[in-house]
Amino acid sequence: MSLRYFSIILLILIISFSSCRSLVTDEFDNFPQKIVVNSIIKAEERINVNVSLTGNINDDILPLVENAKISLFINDKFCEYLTYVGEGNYRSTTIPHENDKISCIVVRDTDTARCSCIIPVKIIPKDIDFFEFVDIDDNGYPLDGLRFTFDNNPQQTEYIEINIFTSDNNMDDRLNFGPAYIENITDPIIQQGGVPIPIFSTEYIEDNVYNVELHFIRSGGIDYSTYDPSTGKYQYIKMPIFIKIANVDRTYYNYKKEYYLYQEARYSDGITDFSGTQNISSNIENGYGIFAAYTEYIPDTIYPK
Amino acid sequence: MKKAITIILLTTLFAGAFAQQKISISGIVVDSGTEEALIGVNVVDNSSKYGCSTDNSGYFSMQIVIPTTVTFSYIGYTTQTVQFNNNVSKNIKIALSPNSQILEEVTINAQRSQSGDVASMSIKEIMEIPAISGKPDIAKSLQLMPGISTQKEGTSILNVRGGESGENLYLFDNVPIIYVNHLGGFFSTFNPDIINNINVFKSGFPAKYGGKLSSIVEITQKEGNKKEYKGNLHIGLSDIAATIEGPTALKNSSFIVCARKTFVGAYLMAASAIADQDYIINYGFYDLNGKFSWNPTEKSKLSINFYSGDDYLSMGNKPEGMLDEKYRIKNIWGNTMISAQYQNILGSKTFLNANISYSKYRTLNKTTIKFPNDATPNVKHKFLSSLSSTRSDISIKHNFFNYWNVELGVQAELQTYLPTYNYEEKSKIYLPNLSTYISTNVYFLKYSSIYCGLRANALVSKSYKDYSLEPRAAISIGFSNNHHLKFNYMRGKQYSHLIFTSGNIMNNEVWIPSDNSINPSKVEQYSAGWESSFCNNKFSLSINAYHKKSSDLATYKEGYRNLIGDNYWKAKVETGGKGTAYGIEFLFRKTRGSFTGFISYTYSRAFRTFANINEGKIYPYDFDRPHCFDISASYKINEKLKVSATWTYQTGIPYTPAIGKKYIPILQDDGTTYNIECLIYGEKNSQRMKDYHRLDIGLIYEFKTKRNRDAAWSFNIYNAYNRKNPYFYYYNISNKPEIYTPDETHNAYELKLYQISFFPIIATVSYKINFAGKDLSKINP
Repeated sequence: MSLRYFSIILLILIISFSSCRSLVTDEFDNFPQKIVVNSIIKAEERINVNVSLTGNINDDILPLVENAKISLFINDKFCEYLTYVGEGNYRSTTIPHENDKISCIVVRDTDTARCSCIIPVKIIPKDIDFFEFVDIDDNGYPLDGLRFTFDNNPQQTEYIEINIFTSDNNMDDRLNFGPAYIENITDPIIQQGGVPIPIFSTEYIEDNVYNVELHFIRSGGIDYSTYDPSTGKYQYIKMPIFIKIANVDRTYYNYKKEYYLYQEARYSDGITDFSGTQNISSNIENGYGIFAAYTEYIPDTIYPK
Repeated sequence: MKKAITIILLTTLFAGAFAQQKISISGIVVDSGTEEALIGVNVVDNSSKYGCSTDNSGYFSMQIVIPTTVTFSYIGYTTQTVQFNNNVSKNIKIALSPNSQILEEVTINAQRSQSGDVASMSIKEIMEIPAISGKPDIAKSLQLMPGISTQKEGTSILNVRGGESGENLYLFDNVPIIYVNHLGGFFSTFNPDIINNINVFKSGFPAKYGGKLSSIVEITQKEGNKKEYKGNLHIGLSDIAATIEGPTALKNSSFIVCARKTFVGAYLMAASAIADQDYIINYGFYDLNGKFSWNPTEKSKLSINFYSGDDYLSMGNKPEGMLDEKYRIKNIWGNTMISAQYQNILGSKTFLNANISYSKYRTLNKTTIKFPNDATPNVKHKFLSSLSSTRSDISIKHNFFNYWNVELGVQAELQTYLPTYNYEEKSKIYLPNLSTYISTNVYFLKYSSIYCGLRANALVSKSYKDYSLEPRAAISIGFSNNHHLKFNYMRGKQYSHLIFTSGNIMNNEVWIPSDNSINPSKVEQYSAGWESSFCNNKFSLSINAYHKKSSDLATYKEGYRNLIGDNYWKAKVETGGKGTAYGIEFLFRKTRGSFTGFISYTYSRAFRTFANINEGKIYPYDFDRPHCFDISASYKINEKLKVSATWTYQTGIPYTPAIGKKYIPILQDDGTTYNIECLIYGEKNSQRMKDYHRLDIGLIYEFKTKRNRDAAWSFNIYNAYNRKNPYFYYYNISNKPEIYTPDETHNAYELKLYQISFFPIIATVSYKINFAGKDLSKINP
């Protein structure tokens, strides 16, 4: 077949499978303005509440509320009015603790929104074990592993998020720690939750002790000075590992899962993954937003040998 | 008194049947040229005017009053009349000769008289419908029939009366085929060169069929020519297909083999090379169908069928340096099926049918990465999902009288599920299922009939047991031979759920079995219709209305779109769904003359309710289309030239709109938060995309080659007026392919609603040539 005919066939095929993107509308119905209250409260730190308003699809800025009156209640007792500190943020002087019930009433003009949450108690794992080179990811990078052992009370459901950070040098300088890429999540407890992010619930665990294992890429890369001609192998530079274990409330747990699914649907590549939708739910009465809490535990930095 | 009234009534109803000197005749009607069984031949006793038609095996059975003549007529064939004088029951074989005069002018419209709510399309009709690939597509042609629709544009997936795509039972010569698509549904696996006849039961399923809720797609394969070797070659822009058929060394036997392969992969590889990309993509699919038929005696037939079809998509890089890794990703998905069928006419009133089959669908993914000079070890990942069915069934149909027949049978099936398997933890699930059924047809008042059937299922596995009864009923009240009022009722149960995302080129179909936490889905459907034919069967009209309720449906939990590779897939599956669908369907057909075609219109609605989707509120089904209108016409200009056109209109499919925006907090590593915008979606599927419509035009030029072979060029234009039909909607800041992402520095954007359209105007051409060998019967008479 001549090149000319081949080019015609190729052109027809390309046209056949090419896509066309066109505008449907840039005009949308007005969405009724509602208060949006966002706050992720950390035990033993001052409370910060952000207040904004909902907007239309074609708004390029969502209004921040500067004149709200926010009453803070701790364990159902009035505590203080939060102080506006700019950018829609309101801050408390009170420091909340584990097990405190935090409630806010947010008043803006004639609208009133209410929200509350309970700060979970700190969770400390029984053991944290480090395993070197437990798996490899799809790109061939070696994965290290951390196994966390927790006590469990089957009568009570906890929601736990684990964040792993690795340093790009071997100093315990936390400014240099960055989040480790957690990959190939195969832990059944996390998989049971339905999303491959390191957050899980103890809802279905009936044992008194359980393990959760995470595999991650450690920063550092290959130490080329360790080349062994007899094996043709190199060694990896062993960097310190820094961990944060957060006991989060149910709202935060659901929010993290929904946010993952929202991103997957919203920012898919648009060709092989077709647009889906996932709403991020809200726990604000008469408004929108996330009002959640957590307590953090930071174990000792791990220095792999 | 009651007894007397009953006797009088029965005597009145079946008066014609109680005459003296009755004999039973039965047999098979075949094509005299090829010896292939003819389906839907009208068999009429000229004395009593009682008639029946041949079934999918070409079999008929009736009682006649002698002396009489029986006429065998079939459109496209010379009518044959046989005299019966002897008082002896007979088994006969009738060979009808094709009549080219009639063949050129009419359309075969088989099985009008069967019970149930059936959409039929003749292979001739299908062959004339313009197709995107230049070669007719069975599934896409069926989508033009009322009550049958598709999902996204271009796919071969069928949605029947608001049902899910996994609720259709595709029976290929009575054997289930599990996966019926190529290229994400853009091509169906059914190669039209090997198809003889297609019926789609939309309701009132015969009791012998079960295990699916929405439809039974009954596809009968052609048999090979028993007298001469023949073949054809079909070359289109996207694929090449070849068929060869003929007699074998065994007397009264034949074979037919049909192969098809796409060469899209060659284009893709060439495109990769021309664009000098650092990776190579190869995609392809193939089908291989075959059938061996043997008539050891005039009363018996043995057939062996096989089918194998796979899609494959592979991708790999072109390593340039010594230190570059070499990766290969290979995906293969498809079906394999093998079956044996034995049919025998026992006496003159009983027909025996026995089948044994094995069918398997699987999707396999292999990833290999090799690191030649590195500390990194090689990577190998494998993933498999499969469903296989080993099945055997035996049925007996006995005609007690002309007005009464009974069919009963037993089916045993072992389904083996492997929803996800990553070669670490194998978790095969076995579901043995035993079904038995009985059905009866009673004909009364000359043109009327009642069909009653009962199907009993027992599913007993180690961890799960289920028993069910499925009643089926159909009443046809005939006002003349041409006007019938029909009522159908059915209940059905399905033990497997298909979970997948429509429109994804990569196959992501996962079949999951019922168990203690996932109930089998159920359906109950009522339908009523009117069927008429007039002007000497030149025109036909049918109107059908239905109401369908289904329960225990399964789908993805909100936000999930893929189960592949997930050992904990149950966490992503929402169960206990309810569905409601109702509608009215019109079909007007002109089946004879130079100008043939049909007009179909469907008004239908389909809804779903799941406890954890759309806050438990009812919502329109993802592919709910209230109005579907199709018009298809074919005009024979002269002996060589035929032109055809199809126009399709459908209400746009529903989508879930974003109705507003809000900020959500993003927690940073240092414990502080920042806001980014997040869309607030309205109720699920509460708005609709733009209406869909499209015109396809086809031209067929048939001629003789220099060597006196039949050949044809086929020219097709898909989407002739280049309508930009929406494939999906999305929100973005511009029509660029990249979707913006808000972040800490720019947390909100002015969004607009955009659509993506595929399939602009597409012109295709294909060429088909037939080869014929010597007629062996003339060589060895």
